[in-house]
Amino acid sequence: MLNLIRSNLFRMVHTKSVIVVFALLMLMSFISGSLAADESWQMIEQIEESNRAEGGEIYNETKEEPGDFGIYSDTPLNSDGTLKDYVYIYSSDLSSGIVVLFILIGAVLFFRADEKNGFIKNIAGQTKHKYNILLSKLAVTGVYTFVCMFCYMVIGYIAFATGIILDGSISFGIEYLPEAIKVFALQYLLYMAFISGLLLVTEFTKSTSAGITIGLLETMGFGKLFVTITQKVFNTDFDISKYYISTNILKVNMDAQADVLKFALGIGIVYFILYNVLNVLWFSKKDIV
Amino acid sequence: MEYVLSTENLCKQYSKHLVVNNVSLHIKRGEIYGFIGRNGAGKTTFMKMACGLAMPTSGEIELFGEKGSNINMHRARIGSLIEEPGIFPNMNGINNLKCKCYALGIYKKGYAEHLLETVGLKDAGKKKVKKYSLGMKQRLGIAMALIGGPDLLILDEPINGLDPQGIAEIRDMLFKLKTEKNMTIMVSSHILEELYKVADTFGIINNGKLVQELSREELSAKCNDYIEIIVNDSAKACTNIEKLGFNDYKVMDNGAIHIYKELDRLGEINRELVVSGCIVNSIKIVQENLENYFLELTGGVQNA
Repeated sequence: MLNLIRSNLFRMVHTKSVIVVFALLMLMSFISGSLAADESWQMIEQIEESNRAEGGEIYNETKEEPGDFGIYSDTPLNSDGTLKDYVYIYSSDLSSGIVVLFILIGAVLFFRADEKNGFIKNIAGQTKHKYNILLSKLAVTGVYTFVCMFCYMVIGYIAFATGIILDGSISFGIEYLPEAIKVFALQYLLYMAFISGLLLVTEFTKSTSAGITIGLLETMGFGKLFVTITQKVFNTDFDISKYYISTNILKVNMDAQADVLKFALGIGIVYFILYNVLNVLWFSKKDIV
Repeated sequence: MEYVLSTENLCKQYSKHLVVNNVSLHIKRGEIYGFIGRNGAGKTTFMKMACGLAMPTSGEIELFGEKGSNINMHRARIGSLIEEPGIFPNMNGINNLKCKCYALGIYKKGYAEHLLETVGLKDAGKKKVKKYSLGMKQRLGIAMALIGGPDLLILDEPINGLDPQGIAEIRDMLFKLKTEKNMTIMVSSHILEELYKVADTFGIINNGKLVQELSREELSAKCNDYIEIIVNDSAKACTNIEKLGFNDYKVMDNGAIHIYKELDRLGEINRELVVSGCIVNSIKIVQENLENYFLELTGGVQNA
């Protein structure tokens, strides 16, 4: 198993498409960090102007309710007008959906590459249990997801800090780190569950594009359409979308309440296990063609 | 008899199509087994089952003397090249080999380079595989199959795309692996004459069924030379041939007479036919080739 993991890691770092997707994600992280810094400057200036004109009014952050799973960036200021710690901005970025979409594309491309070019035929016969190949790829996908999330944080922080540095008030939020790590771990679990589901689709349909397309549609909020349809068909108000992984990714960030985090943890564990058990069963039974 | 691989009534069915039908095949230790069959005959599917890439619908596989789930322990002793070589086009040759080496737990320095040298790709190791010719890819595929020094090597059409020199090199390599490393090799090919040059035992498969399994000696006996006589009057010629004591002969559809024994009496036959007044248009010794025998077994040219 460890040998298979090492082989897959070697393969991953030599897979051009995965590297390209990773580079694009890092570029996006840099842009996102820079934009957040720029937005902060503009807001701080507005608050100062407002304070001068009206004698010190407190800035009121307009906290938006989470909308559809999609691409957005949270306001980088606290309600008192001070700059948020970076861990808040980062967790907000992770819940936006765009990061998981990029990671998903890289993961799916990597996952199917050895089956598309037939490399898997070289090792599947010589492996004691075929499902070890799948599990090793899953493990490497986990490493890839972690590296992407970590590098996104580092690059994003560098971009954000560079943009803010003149102000001198930039803070990573080290004092929140124990709490932040729990949130990031939960976000990681949800990411892995989301990716596992789409890897199952990819394996089942034998199509890279199917996995990426469904992932893209889900990221764009097409899951809501299914909610509307089920509500109309069954004439009910029941919102199935709260059991979606995407909905839970959207809700989990540093500001989330404990019950939201607990529910998301349950969803993440259940889906992660379910998808991967199904994938292992499917992979063990299928012929390598 | 010690068999490295043997099967008992092995079947593989895809929906309603029985691709491999009750195949009972036996590969002895240290031999080169030639697997012959037309396209779609079931060769590749059989090889996939032998390698563990496909699950049999029914029947049994015995591998290195083990049956049932125990054969999984011996899967690592099989190296295979099934259909096209499975390689990453954007990686170079060495990295492709390293990728499989790592998967099998082989971290020996210079191992990949040594394998490339074995298959004649010594100078192409750092070149991206997408820039390889078809023959080079085929050689790399064989190098991949050799990783770990397998006891049983299963090669599906390994000389596809190779030039005559390349074919000869692969042939030499197979002999070398057999004699120096006592490797058992199962090799399929549609270039029957090439297979005839290397294999010790032959299995002929047609429409999923193993039509015949025979040794090189048995096949040589079946593919015996014969005298072919073309005359103006076949009936009269047959009477004279029988007078000379020949009973083992055949009159073909085109009127040609084939005599299968005592080929050294060609001159005597010719003289007798001429004396009896037959006009002999042609009389010669013809070598029955493997291809003809194969076509005969698999239903002739119309099925090929």
